[in-house]
Amino acid sequence: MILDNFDYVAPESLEEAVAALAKGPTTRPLAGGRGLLTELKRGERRVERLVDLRAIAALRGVDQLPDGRLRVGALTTLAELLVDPFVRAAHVPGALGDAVPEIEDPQARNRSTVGGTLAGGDPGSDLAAVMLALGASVNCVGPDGERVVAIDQLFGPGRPTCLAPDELITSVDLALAEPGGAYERFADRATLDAICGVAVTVALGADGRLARCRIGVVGATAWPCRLDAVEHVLTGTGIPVTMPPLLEVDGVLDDRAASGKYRIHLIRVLAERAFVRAVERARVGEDGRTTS
Amino acid sequence: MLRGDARFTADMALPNMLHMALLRSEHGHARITGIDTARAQQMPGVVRVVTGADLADKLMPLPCIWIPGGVESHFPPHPFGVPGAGPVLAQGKVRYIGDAVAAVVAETAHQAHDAIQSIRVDYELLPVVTEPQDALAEGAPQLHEAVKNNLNAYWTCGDRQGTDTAISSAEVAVELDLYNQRTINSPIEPRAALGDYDPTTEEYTLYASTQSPHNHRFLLAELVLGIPLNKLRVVAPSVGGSFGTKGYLYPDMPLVLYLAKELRRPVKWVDSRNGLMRSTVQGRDHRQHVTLAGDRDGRITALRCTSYANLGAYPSTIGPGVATALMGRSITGPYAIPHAFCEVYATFTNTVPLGAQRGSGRAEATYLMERLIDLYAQKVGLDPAAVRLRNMVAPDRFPYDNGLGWTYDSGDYATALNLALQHSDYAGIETARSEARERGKLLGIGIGSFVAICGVGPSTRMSQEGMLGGTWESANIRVHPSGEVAVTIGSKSTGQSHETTFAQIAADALGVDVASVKVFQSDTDRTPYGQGTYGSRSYSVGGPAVHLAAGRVIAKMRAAAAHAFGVDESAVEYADGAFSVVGGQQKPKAFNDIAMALWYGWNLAPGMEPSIDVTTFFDPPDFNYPFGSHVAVVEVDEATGQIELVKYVAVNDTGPVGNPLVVDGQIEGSILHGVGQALMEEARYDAQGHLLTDDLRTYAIPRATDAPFFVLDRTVTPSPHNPLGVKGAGEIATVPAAAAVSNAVCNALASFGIRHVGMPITAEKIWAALHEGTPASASQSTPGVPVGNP
Repeated sequence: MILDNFDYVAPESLEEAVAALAKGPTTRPLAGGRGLLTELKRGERRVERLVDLRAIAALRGVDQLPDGRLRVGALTTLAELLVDPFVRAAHVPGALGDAVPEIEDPQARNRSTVGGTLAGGDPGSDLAAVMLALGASVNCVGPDGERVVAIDQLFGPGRPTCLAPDELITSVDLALAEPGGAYERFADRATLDAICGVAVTVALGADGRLARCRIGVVGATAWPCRLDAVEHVLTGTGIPVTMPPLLEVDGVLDDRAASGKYRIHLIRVLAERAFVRAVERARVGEDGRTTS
Repeated sequence: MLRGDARFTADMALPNMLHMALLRSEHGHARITGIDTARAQQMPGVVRVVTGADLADKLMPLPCIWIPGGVESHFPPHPFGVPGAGPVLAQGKVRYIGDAVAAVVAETAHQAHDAIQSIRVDYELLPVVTEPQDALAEGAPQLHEAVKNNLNAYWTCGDRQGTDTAISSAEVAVELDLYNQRTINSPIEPRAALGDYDPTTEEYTLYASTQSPHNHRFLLAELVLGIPLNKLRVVAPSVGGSFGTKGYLYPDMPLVLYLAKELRRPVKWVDSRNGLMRSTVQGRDHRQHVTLAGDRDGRITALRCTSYANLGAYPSTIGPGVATALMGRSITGPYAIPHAFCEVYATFTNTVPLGAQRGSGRAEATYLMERLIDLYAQKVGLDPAAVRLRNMVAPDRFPYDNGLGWTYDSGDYATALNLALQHSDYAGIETARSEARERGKLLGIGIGSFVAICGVGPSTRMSQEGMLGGTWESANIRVHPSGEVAVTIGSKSTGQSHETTFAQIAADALGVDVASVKVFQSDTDRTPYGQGTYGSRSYSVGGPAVHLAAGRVIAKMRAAAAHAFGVDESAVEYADGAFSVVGGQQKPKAFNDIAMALWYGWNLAPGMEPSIDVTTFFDPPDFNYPFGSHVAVVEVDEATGQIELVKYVAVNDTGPVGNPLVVDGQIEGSILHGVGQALMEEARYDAQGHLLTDDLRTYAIPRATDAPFFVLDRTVTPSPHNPLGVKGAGEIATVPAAAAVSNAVCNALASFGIRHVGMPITAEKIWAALHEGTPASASQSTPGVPVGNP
């Protein structure tokens, strides 16, 4: 398809970028371009101006914070994330390590950025499921200054994200990695997007009980969400012999790619599979600690 | 091609070139009550806007040239008396979602694209029909005034009465309702056309992504533009895949030529993926009721097929023939079935016109036969491989008349199947099945045995089938004074490596290095006539032409050598690139020495013409009939229904193989085409005739990662129908692939009492089938299932 005309600016500082974005809703930030440029080419979105963020050095790289958490710059590509030593140490194997290599293809992972992917609010974003399970917090900046948005708050019904049009993600802080994590997905044949993706992280207590558990779901629902009710039932129990009922899942999608019934079924199957692997990994981690 | 150097039509630019965009219908069926182009005319860069009204007396409709129903066929009229089809631009009515309504020509493609969007069309919506059985029903919306009840043709072949009697008296009969779903061809390169006009010579040139330059020239000049044939030249630059679609006529072709003349500037049009999916001919699409009968010992006695073929809105160039003869005559496959009958209702609907897709007709036929034979084997409690072997045409029965119009040339069908069974470890399958079961996987194995009907065809035979035009091929060989060779062919590669394969045929027959042979194609002004690349015919019909031309070249050079040696021709032998006198002492003369001697022409035998330039035409006595057996092994995830194709064995017989690498590449690609139909591809329309699958995000095609590890093998049974003994190869592996994969999935699910799952077999379909009777639980009531270890 042929793109419509638009203005283009490439500021070198965050301040300039925020100022440029204040021009109005038809001004959009450009990160990796994986989502936005596709929409423009397909004529699904029109813009008057693109603010290219890629010259802003402050948005790049992965750092370890003093408390051990990882801060991932918004423009870090998915490919960079996969090879980062901090990320590898804490998240491979794990939900993140499972998910990222499954996202589209190498070319797309070379373009797609962590910030751009989350800001796009794609309900099928594998990364969003992982971030939900990892308990990430999202650092943002806008005309009113900086703020921190918990990942659970970022997504919700009726809008891609809770960010204002002139607000940018600057980085994402990952909570300290849980001992066990895994990601399972089921892809649409045409798009390879997740019809359903489930990320699970678990921590086992000294008593062998499940101390903590987070489950993030994408693709099956209209927005990335946690399975809070299931987490609640599981937490504090022994490792269950049965997966509890899903209880309420809001916003289940029912479309060309899959029916709602099938998606609900997939949430259960994939949650079980991810849960089993996450627990296995948590146990291996414990053994590792015991022997070292 | 692999280096990215290939030049496609879209890459071409002529000086002063304009760009055309097409406005397509937004509706499945509607009357056009008004078109307002005023705003578009005023848009920047716009040079011309045309609608159907501007062209009514300028361009004829696009003709259909394969009319299998003969006088029983009904077509929209064409002024030249041939069966007509769609107008170039809609005349008062649109009949499908891709119907071209208007064209804009502008200085840039962007401007043309923008201006298209400001054309206002007033539509009065008409009722829509997208299914053939609905279209035939009383009170159905009528697409064409001249075609009553939307029925293009009722077509039959075989023995109706004998078949019905055999079925009603049979010990066992199995019946099935099948939908061989509509598929969309997805070549990497969408179509493109560039028209040029020279006012000095009054000559038109069309550069286009076509697989049949000569045919397109003939049809466009004679039947669409109404200009002398020698005023049109058609050139096909590199073509990025076709799979049957680029041999058809499309509105853009005459349009760019007409507008180039009107505007005295070249006009270029390049399709988009969305445009391709809405307007390039689509494939398959039969709703069928099929019955197979036999005895309790696994001997098949009868096969019957009633098919409702969905031709789409217009009869495409050869679409009606594909849907009737090519499918109907092929239904018995490799089996000797005493009584067979097929009837086809070829029907117009408000969908994209139907045409060919790789393996067209024969794949649809093979699917029904191969599904039925599995169900029959199941019913009589015999192994499906054993039932196939019991019914296959025996090697001593060739030529074999299948009773439906084909006479199979040669084959050893059982040997190919046995080889495929060996490669797939068919005997050990139960062990593999239990091993998979322990991993939560349901393993299934499925066979697809086939005969493909290729190498279209003898011209006389095709005229009896209702085809307008010959089906021979040609070759010209010119030997340069230096001994290098130019081979010029009438057919055209759309990615099949004609450049390599035809050079090999010539090099082999001439005894020269293949590197010294250059192949020319693609340009109607510079190549001998040929009918094009389709039906796996280039190598098996065009190849013999090259071979025969080479034979004549050597004969002439032998005569020239004999003259130079001063001996009789019979005393001259040609070996290792040199002519010599048998048992003689004279120094041999190399190929290039004789070539040079004929070039100088200083000392020629009396009556011999100088130089070496030979053209031959080859029209085969009949089709050729490649065959083989494929075996697919799948694993189905019981929890999700996800299918993994874990192994695919293909044993094919295409006669002697020219270039194994080229043939195996074609085999693998065409298997994936069948896998695509079996597991993911389906063109879907809503009730208003909108195409729901109009891009590659909504229409799934196989990726490299969907390819299993192929196990390829071959048997070699020459065809008596051409001097090389070769048979078609380009599309044959698509013919059984969808059936083999479908059979494998159904085999995996058989223990659950699942008899048949229609294509495309998606994970969700399997899940639904496995859970039939246990409706999918609401989330609240889902019972717990074990996870993890306590």
